[in-house]
Amino acid sequence: MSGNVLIPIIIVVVLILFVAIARFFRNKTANYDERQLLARNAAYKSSFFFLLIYCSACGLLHIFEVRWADTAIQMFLGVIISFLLFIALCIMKDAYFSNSTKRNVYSIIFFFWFGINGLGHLLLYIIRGEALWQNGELTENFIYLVSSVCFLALGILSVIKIVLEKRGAEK
Amino acid sequence: MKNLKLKSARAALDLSQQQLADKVGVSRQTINAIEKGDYNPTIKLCIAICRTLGKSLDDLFWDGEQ
Repeated sequence: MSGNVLIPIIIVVVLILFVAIARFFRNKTANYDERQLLARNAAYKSSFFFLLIYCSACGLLHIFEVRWADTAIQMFLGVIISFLLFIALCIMKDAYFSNSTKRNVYSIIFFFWFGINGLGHLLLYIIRGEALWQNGELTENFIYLVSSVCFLALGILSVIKIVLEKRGAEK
Repeated sequence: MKNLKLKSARAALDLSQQQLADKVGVSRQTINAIEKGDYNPTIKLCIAICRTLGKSLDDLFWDGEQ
């Protein structure tokens, strides 16, 4: 088996083990209450149906030979957008953040870090002369644009929600 | 429809939404949503709230006008 195949497999296995161990030792107070679980279920449903409609639309465009991006890019965009849609809906319904303040701060740092990181990559590629749109199709750089804009929006949304929550907490 | 009975029972015990939420094991936003009438709690949560506030289900969640 070549290194090109073996290294990604090792990375995936290590990642799965890390997530499994982290979940095992996670703080049990981070559980959601019944209203939050309902809101999360509704958000799951919305993001799932968004992905379903998105895939159907991409399939139809493919049948009619309307090419706007590589298939991998199309699917990756769909997954990113549906995932971020789920997070945004949860944040708006107060069902994303748990009672753990530490975890909430980590989430916000992650959103801004990922957004700025994606934006940095995008700017680097643009400076190198790579385009967002080439030969009538979107390039991989468009994924950086979408993900960075979405993650920055999630970060801003989270900060707004936390500020509103602090104001709304009555004595 | 707003649940003013719950709000007044909570205020009578001088409890904040956060304190009540901590006692019944839910988030503050959930208590706020129940008081505003935006969320109908399960019977399990209703009982937990009643026990915490020392009231009956009728006192807090039964609307006599209906």
